[in-house]
Amino acid sequence: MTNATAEAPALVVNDVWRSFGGVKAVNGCSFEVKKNSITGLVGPNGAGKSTMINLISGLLPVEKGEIVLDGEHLEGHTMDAISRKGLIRTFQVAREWPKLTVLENVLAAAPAGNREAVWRSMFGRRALARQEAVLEARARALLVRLNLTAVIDIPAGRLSGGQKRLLEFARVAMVAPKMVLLDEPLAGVNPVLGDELARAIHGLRDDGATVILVEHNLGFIERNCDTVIVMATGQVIGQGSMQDLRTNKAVVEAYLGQA
Amino acid sequence: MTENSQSMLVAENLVVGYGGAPIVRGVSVSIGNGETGCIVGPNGAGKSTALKALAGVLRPISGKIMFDGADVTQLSTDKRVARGLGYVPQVANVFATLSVLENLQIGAHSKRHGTNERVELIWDLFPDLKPAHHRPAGTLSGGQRSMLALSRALMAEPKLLLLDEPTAGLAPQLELQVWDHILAIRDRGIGVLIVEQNTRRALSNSHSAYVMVDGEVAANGSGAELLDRPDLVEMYLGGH
Repeated sequence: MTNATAEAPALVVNDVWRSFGGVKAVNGCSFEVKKNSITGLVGPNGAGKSTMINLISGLLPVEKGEIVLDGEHLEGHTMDAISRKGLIRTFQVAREWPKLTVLENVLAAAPAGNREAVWRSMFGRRALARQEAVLEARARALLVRLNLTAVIDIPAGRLSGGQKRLLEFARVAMVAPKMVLLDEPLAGVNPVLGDELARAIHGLRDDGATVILVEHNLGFIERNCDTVIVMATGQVIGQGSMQDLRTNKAVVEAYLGQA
Repeated sequence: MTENSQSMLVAENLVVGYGGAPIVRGVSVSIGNGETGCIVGPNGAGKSTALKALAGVLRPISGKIMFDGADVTQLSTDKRVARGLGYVPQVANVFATLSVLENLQIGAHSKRHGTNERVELIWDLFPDLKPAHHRPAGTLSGGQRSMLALSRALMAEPKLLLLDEPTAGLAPQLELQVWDHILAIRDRGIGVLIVEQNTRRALSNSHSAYVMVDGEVAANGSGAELLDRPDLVEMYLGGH
């Protein structure tokens, strides 16, 4: 943090455009995300936040502009290729394998590279066992951290909404990504789990990831983010602390409208 | 607030949810006869959920809803519409495969007589719809659709209309047009309770206004009073 100006940003979004029919959803959007930060991305309904993270994660192709992760261009790549470059996203509705146990779900999330290594080591059973033991130890440690040890052998389909969300964090952490995009992690989750989710988000950052957090709950954003980017009508209209943003005329207008 | 004798709609201590923790937690609302009221507030505050309970789409967990002097808490949406409490949902508010005219006729199903006269009144209020009367509703533009949804609700001769974000997704110019129509409806003596994203516009057009935050009413008063409240920004952007 002290050296922030000298360090290259984790993510650079430069003049990105995307429209649907005649609607310009993302409209020349530019911003930078500091390495190892937790950065909030907020804005009123229809601001273009979801489109923006769909563009960053490769779910939608960009029409124009650049998206650069740690020096590597992401635009034009598929979601798969982008996740292999170290950028993982979550969705508003948590996705799990309902019939696999919680532990198996986390193990299944281990990056493809590792799994191939496991596969190759079929030639040596001891090597395979070692590999598996390493992955399993990592998975179990993550589940301890996320308070899911009590349900470790239960099929994931039987978890509560909040537990599914925590499981998703374990699956993301298993990949050890450079960057995580969290799309409304509080959506549909009992408010009492908010603190636990916050701890999980800080855990991802402590492991070295940079986190972008899209969330409507601005209190949660204020408590957990280092900096906040505000979008409206497809562009960035402000960036800073929530305290600064509350006195930013453009931001206030975007939220309250014009009479 | 308006006195009880003059109130068209009074909801007391509504608690509404979808099975888990309640989304709306003890909300009270009162709209006078022929008044314009609004419920505003940040995303996820529970505005639309509260409106759905008022319309009878959701049954409240607890609380009481009085409309036009009668307790309607246990009545279905249909029965509330028949008593004059109209509701225009945010989506799926027109029959896409039916023509504009057929949509209007269906809107009048609770009334035995006078459908044609009321259609004429609609052409009067919404002149843009008349030339499109034979077109399937699904082929209308967003603005026209929003107008048709309003007209359809008017066909049942409501005393009060509940509108869930009628300007959502519309270009700013169309948003203004829809507001013009809402004000025209009010000028005919029909009350309106609107859930709206554009807080300042809603407040500047409302007699009674409610700001909902996190399932509760954080502030209420006349629209003009609330527009002047210095803490209005904090209700949306946090702080304190």
